[in-house]
Amino acid sequence: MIEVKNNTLAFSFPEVHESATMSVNFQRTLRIPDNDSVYPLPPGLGPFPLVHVDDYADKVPDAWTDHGGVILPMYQAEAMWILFSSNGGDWERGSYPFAIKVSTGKIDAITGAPHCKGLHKQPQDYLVTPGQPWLDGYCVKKGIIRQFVAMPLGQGYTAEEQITKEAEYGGIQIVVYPMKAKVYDRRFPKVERSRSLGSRFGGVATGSWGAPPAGGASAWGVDMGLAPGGRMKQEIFQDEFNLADWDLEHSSRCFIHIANSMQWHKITGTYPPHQPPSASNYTNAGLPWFDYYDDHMKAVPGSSKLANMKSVQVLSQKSGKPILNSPWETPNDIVYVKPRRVREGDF
Amino acid sequence: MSEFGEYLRKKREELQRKDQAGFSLRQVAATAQMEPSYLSKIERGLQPPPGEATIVALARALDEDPDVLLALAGKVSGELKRIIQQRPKLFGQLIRELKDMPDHAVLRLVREVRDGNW
Repeated sequence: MIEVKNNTLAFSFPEVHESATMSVNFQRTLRIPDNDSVYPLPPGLGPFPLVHVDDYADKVPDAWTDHGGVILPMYQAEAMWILFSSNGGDWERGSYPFAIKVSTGKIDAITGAPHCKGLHKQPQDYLVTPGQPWLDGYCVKKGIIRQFVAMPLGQGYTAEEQITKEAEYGGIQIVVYPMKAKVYDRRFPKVERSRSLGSRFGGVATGSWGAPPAGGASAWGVDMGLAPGGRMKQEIFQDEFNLADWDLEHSSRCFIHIANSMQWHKITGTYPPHQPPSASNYTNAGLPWFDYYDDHMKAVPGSSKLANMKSVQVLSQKSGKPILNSPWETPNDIVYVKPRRVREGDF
Repeated sequence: MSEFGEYLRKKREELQRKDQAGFSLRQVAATAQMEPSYLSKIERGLQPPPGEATIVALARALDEDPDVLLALAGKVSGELKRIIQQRPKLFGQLIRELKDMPDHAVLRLVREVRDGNW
């Protein structure tokens, strides 16, 4: 089951195992320059707000209530990354593992293939947590992603439109599969463990809320989806477990609708958080960027379908309405985050 | 000896075994803003359980759930009372129906994110 707690999707599978809990949230972040360079990971500026679609059923399109799930607000061209926390209750045994599929507009963010049921290893169409703490974009090449950037549907920018030629779904779709309980009990017996992972949060105030947007909200406008932005260094790690270790009988899934700032105000009567600072302002303020590495893990290769997509910058220049990169200086303060390996017990 | 006092003392002494200084009678009383002698009498059952605010403060000091301590003291939090009083019929009925349900079934009542067709 999924609950919304503090702007976080809390997944739990009490019918599988009491420790089978994890959470997902969507972090506000800087949009990195969309050029040929490869950047480090930008900070998390706090989670985007999340509300139940059902609480605003009279104010959203029928398709949204049909999809169910939640709504979050994003400005056009705003970026996000997804934070996975495997917080399964028992530290002495290590966090409960989960396989997670992430799609945008029902296109898999790792393989570029249309969303489908189940899990596949060739190519691997999911992430594994713990191990993969963050996902910042589309896996275009081994160790390289293109940042998730919000764009209106119908203008050809989103991954969905570039790959399917249709602007049908938008939003983000997440499906979570727990490890089979008996596999967890066998692989993770009780041993002394230490908490893993560093954090990835910037030095910018995260709780500020925006001023009213200029002009009134009138028509609904168009839905939003995610599109490929600038390139950054991030590995999507190979699954170290067996496909048969995952419990395909017990999955939970959620459709995350993206409302633009005007729609969000119309729906909830509140304003979305301020837009994040520009990447150059952030860097000039001496705030840190991030890098995550894990020597013990192998990365999956990128998807050629995703690599063939054109970035928001390239498409917007073609359309004559360019979304400009802000002036840019290379980040020099990079925090290297390394997981403390959680060792598996003997089996 | 009252059940409330005994529970309180056991909980405090358990914490004290891990952190000698932080959970002495004197320290816990200070955190909960009460006299050590009063806390001692409550622990020994020589005084009845204190009022709601003090119980909540003790729960904070001992990292215990306030609802659990209130229940041991034979009380229900004012907040819960107000919730029931706002919709007495609905909540009365609901609580009676939940009475015999196992914990996992009660936990199922939390607000889930609804999945639809996509």
